[in-house]
Amino acid sequence: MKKNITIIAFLAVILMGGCKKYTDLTPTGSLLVENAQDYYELVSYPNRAYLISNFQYLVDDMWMKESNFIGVTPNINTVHFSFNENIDRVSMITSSNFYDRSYVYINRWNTIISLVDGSKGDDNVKALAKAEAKVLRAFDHFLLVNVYAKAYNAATAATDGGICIMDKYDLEAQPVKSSVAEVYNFIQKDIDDALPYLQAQPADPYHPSLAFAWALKAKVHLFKKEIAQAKQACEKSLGYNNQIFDLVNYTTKQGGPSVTPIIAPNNPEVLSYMYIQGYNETNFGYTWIISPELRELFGTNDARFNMFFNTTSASFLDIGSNSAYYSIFYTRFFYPTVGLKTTEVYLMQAECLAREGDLAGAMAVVNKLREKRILSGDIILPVPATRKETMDIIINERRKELFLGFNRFMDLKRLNTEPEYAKTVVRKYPLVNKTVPQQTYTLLPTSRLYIIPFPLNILKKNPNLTLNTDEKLPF
Amino acid sequence: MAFVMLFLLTFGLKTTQAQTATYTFSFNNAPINGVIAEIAKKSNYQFIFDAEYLKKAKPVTAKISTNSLKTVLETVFKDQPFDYEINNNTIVLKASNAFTEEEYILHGMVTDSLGSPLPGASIKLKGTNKYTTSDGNGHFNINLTNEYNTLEIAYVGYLSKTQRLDRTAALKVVTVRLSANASLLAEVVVNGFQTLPLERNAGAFAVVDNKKLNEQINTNILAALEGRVAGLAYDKNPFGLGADKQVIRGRGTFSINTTGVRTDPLIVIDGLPSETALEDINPYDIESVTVLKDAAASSIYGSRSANGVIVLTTKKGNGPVKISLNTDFFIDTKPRFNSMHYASTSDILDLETDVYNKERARYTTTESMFNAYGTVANGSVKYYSPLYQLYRDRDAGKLTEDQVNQQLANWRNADYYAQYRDNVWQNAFRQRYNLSFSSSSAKSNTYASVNLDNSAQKVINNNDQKLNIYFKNTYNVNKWLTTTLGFNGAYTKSVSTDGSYDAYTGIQPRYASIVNPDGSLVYADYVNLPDGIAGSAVNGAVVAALKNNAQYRSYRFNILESLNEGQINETKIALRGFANVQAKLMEGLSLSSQLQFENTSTKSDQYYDVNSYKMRSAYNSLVGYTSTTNVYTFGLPTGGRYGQLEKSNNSYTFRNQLSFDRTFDKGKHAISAIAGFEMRQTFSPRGIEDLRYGYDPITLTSTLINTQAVSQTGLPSYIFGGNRTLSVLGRTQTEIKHRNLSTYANAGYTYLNKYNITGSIRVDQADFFGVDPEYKNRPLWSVGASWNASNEDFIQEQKWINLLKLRATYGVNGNQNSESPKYLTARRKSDNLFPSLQYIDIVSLPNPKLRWEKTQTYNGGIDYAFLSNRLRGSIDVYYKKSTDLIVNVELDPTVGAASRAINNGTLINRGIEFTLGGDWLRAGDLTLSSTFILGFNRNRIGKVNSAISQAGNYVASPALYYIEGTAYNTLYAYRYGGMVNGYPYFLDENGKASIDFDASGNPIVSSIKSFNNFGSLVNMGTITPTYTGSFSQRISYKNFELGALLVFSGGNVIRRDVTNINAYDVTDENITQRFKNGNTPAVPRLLVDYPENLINSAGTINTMWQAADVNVVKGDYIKLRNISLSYNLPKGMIGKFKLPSARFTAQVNNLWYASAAGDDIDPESFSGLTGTRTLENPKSFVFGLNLTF
Repeated sequence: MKKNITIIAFLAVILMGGCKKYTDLTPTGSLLVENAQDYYELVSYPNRAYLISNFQYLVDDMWMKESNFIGVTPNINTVHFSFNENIDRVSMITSSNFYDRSYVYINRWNTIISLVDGSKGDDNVKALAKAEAKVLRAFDHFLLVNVYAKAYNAATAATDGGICIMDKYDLEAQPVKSSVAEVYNFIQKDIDDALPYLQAQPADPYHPSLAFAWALKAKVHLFKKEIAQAKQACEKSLGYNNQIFDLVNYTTKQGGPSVTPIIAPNNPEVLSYMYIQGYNETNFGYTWIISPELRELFGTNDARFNMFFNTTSASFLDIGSNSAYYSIFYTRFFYPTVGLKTTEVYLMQAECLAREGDLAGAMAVVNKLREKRILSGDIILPVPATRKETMDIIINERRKELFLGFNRFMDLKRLNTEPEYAKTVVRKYPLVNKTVPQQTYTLLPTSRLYIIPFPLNILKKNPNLTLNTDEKLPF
Repeated sequence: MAFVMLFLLTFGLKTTQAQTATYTFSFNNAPINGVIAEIAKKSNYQFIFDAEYLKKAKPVTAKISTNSLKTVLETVFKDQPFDYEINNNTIVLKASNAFTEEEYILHGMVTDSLGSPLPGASIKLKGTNKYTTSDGNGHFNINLTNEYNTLEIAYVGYLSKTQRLDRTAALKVVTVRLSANASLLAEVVVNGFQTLPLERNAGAFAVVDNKKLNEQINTNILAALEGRVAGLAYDKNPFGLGADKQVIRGRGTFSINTTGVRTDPLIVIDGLPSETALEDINPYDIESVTVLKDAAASSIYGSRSANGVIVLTTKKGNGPVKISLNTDFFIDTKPRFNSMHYASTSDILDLETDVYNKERARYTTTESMFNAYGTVANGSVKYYSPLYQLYRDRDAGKLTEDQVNQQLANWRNADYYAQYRDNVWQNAFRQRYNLSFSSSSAKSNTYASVNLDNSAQKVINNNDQKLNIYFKNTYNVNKWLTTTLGFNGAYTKSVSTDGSYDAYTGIQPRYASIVNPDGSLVYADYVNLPDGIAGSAVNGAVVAALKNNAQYRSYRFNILESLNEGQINETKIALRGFANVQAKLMEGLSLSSQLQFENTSTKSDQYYDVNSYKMRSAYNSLVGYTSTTNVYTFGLPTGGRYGQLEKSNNSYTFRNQLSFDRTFDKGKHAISAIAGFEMRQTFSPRGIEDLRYGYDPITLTSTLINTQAVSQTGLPSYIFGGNRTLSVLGRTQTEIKHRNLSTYANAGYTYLNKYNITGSIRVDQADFFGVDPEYKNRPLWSVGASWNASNEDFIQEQKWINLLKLRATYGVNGNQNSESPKYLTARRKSDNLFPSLQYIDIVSLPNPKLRWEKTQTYNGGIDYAFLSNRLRGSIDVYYKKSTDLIVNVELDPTVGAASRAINNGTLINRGIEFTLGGDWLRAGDLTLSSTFILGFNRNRIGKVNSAISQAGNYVASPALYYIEGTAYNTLYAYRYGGMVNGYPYFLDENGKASIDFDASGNPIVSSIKSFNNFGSLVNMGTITPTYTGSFSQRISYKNFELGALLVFSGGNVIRRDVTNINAYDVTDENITQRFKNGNTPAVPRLLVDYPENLINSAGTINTMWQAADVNVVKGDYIKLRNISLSYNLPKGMIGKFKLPSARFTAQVNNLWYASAAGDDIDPESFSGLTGTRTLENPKSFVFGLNLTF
């Protein structure tokens, strides 16, 4: 018997050798990213939000409910709404979700760009994953530079302070600020590197398509006022997708959102999915009130306004102020706020044509869009006599088509560099409340407010990062 | 007795001077008759005896020279089988009682020096194989036949005693007192893998034996260990609530719970690591607790041992059947508010009136001010207090000034807190019954217990019942095979009220009432409590607007009513089964195989009735209304809300081990060694969750809701405008499984019982670390040496030294981190816009160099016992260096992540520990004994890779932000500069003030800044106490025993509670010290007294004021943890009436404390980092009865 026990003892020790694999557990609840295909799938990143709460009121299109302003101790919203340059707004922007998230997204693209080469799998998949990540990285840098730096000005871009370029996965990096010109060069190089590999019809809607990449290229050129290249890129993009959703037909024949829901996959205009808050953000559209000025611009026969905006809810509006808010849920009509869409490409194309002097060509494009938007009255606008008038029509059309989000902010900023189109924003406030005196607030085209200070927490962390304005650090 | 012949020997009948004569005899193997003849001759005494005696008598050998005949007779007849009697001049030899060979029973009791029974002591009849052991009360019975008997009484840890007793001793109970043998005190050390004599160990252990554990009545094992082990500190009030956290020898890791590194000691039950929390173990099942403090002691537990190890040994049978019954009652008094320093209702009303007036001044009309608070379908609805409503009604002309004053007067007399205490709280009451049974024989050893625990908590309607059953049996199958099987099952059933009702603050203002004087409930129209399901808190305007609308439900509220709503019923079943087979292979060598399985499953459900406050509120918020069509829609189905949750976790450990223990060369060399391997898995499977709306608890039916629609799009809400979403269950499940595979060995060699060397090694592999081969098989090991100096001859000459042992160890331990990932890991997530699409979501960024944290410990110690063991104890010095600590490095978000965990940090703990105690006074029935325990710990952060952060982070979160060279959890403060006009200002590193004042003493707004530079901070010391200890005093007199345990700690600093100057709703009594017109210049002004242009700066000023150096005080304190008085039923009574032995105890916990901080600050109910008071620790009264049969 004792002998048997000894044998068992030895067996037990030997068995242990067989347990080598014992600790090789593949954890449930997570997935190891190892293959090229995994990295390719990582490009698909739904629900990317760019929260603009630090500067959403710094435009002529947005409005505030009076109870959120009167009697409220100053905060970044009220300061920007009242265009107040004489307050230390740097201290008020303690951190920024927009900044953090943009760089989190860039880190995702860099993870793919830096690590996909070391993964197992098909080289074509690797090249595609890398190209897609690059074009998205370009998009995020483009947003950052247009929020935190001066608008692109060819004369000064090489010396204008820009943002930090993040070009690889490196959590230990010490980011350094680059000039506006360097940032634009980086963006353009990424797009140009990516274009040869991208697909017209990617695997899922979250992978960037050629239509998107060319649209982005067009936007970058347009912001640099490289009109010929922008125009060519617009045409390329429209070559892949030129659909406009017919809101007129939708209103008159299909009964609008309450009868025929148009969910995300059914809106053909969308080139990319990005948001201010998230995919369901329009559920909470009542938090973004549009200004009486923009409402006036819509007029009475614009399907976009008539179908989507509420003017009567006392919960969110000051009745009598003539403001309105977006009130259609994303499950009823999916209206992209900040991602690129075909209609923006059309309007960029029109702008290029107008800038090149082809006013008729420009108006033809604008009218093409209006046919799908305007319910009655003057649907087809005549060709104006001057380029300025044509441009004004295009700019206003952009305000009506690309409402909410940051497009108006960026447009104001880039157009303010051109005296012809620069705008002094004037706001009379409040309109309804008569217990406090009405004030007139003015935002000059040259105001430093347009350059949003880097958030305080970043400035404190990174001494290399300096403000792009002459504002003072509070520490 | 067959035949008796009587002899009468007479040698001369002359009178002699017997008294003065000197008798001299010399016998050498002389026959008895010759001896008798000679004595009779020399003494002139005559002998009368039975001739039969001569046959049985032994020959006599003796040399006697004395003048006492008695001595002569005693010497001669000492070993003879008969007795003698002197009767005048006649010596009668008679049959001795013993010689009758009649068996008799000797009753005895073995106690320690204090008179406490020693169960399981062995009682052996000298020179025979006859022996017995004492029972649970220390009693023994032994069958004897001889007139005189010599007993040898022995007990582990005590000096053996030899006692000679004659037959008469059998008439009473013989008490044998054993005194503790310091050199053998706590003779064995149980490290979980083996049981070794202490003499052969080198490590730093502390053993808390059964007697120490039961000096007081304990709520649980956690409480029983407090103040019993030097170096085992209790982190009191860790998060302002919750169970104490144990820390052995200081923090050895930076990690806070989120990173998955554990800071608590490893719990081992009967040798195997357990997931059971100490609070959940039945204290009556525990025989002893061994705390392993240094590396040599605990490195055998490998990568989980860096925080120390607590080894629990459960009871086993000791001698014949013993039944023990314990009944304990605990009463925790409900806390008082005295130490909270609240302002009175009246003061709060005055302050809130000022706050109202300040807010009102910003508007031209009252209604325009209230517009900002919104109402039904207008503005965003915000709560405002009943006082605001009162002033709104006054200004709207709905109430006259008199009515307003009347209402205010009524409110001034109310006190919501007092009513809450009177009506919501009760004295917590707990009953505990424990019945245990044990028995042992040569073949088998059994211990079984049943524990029933029933308690009602402080907040009414909260109670739980717990049943704990334990069974353990060891069976000696044959000479070489032993099996142990055991089972522990605990069933807990509890009811707890909805946690949002546990707070007496927040929901209703101080001037509200709960009950009327006649006892009827007072209902509030609305309260500040969002339902958490669909709606937010509402205000008086909303309630007024809905008043007569039948489509809406009431928002009325009463806390006593709501405490019946949404109660959570939970049942928990915890099972632990274990088996151990031990086979003796050859002398000294044995093989054991152990298996343990643990499973805990918890089920809970929660039901909100359709009429509960939260359901009414949620229902209302989902009522939609279109004024144009006058149509109402109802989003929430009528009915209740029922949620269920079921989850479990389990683990197993399987261990095979070879043990060798043998001495050679007549004990000159002793070797003990073990080697084995262990497999361990912990697993938390996916839980099951269910949530239903429109639920009917009678028909058990519910309504289907479109989860996607109600949670994403929401449902129209007329009150709040737009849509409101309904809370539904999350979509992600989690499952965690971890495995460890370890091989280990240790060995010890002892020479001449004086010199020991020990060593151990262990290699751990786990699924979650070690991708890099460099770290995969890194061993954990230790070495140690000790010298039993008191076994040396030159020390044994010093009689006052009973024990002196020197020891030294070095070793490496580990600490696991199961959460930080080594790979780039991701998760599949479904998409909302394209539901058919799944995408990859990154969970964690890769870290291939991840490894376990490593702690190296040097330990040196002395164990001593002096003056017949009256003074005994030990001293330990240690240096503990933890490296490769996981540090959360804060990153510049520009790189794409806010922080990341890497192995890059060093923490050094050094300390000294003293234990001193003994029964220093023994006088008759009085015994005084004291134990003094003191541990010092200094903690210093070594090299750590983290960039200097903002000053505010060091102030607010010292657990996360620290710098090299300081103690972990250092309290940083701003330099207070002074105060102008009620505005405190502070000085930065250059002495520059944080506020510039204008000529009239008003702050210049643009000059106000917060300090961001680390250099502007002052290091005030550590928040963690640098010394902790206890003093235990016991006085026993006859059947009474009085014991007291004082615990203390200090050497640390804490923040004072400072009134918040950045909040309007201040409830502190300091609001009576308002800065108004400079009346109290020494007190900073409250926010309500700030001018409008400075309100935004109040936050900056407040942050620095609350963290100012002048607001830091010492954290030292001492507390009388418990004082108890016990009475043991006298032994005589027990014997006479055949009563079981009985012991009554009355005990009071937390009776008294003294604190260096003063100001009613009890550091145990105070958050030292934030300077926040929490409710006082309740005094508790405990009554216990122990019966042993």
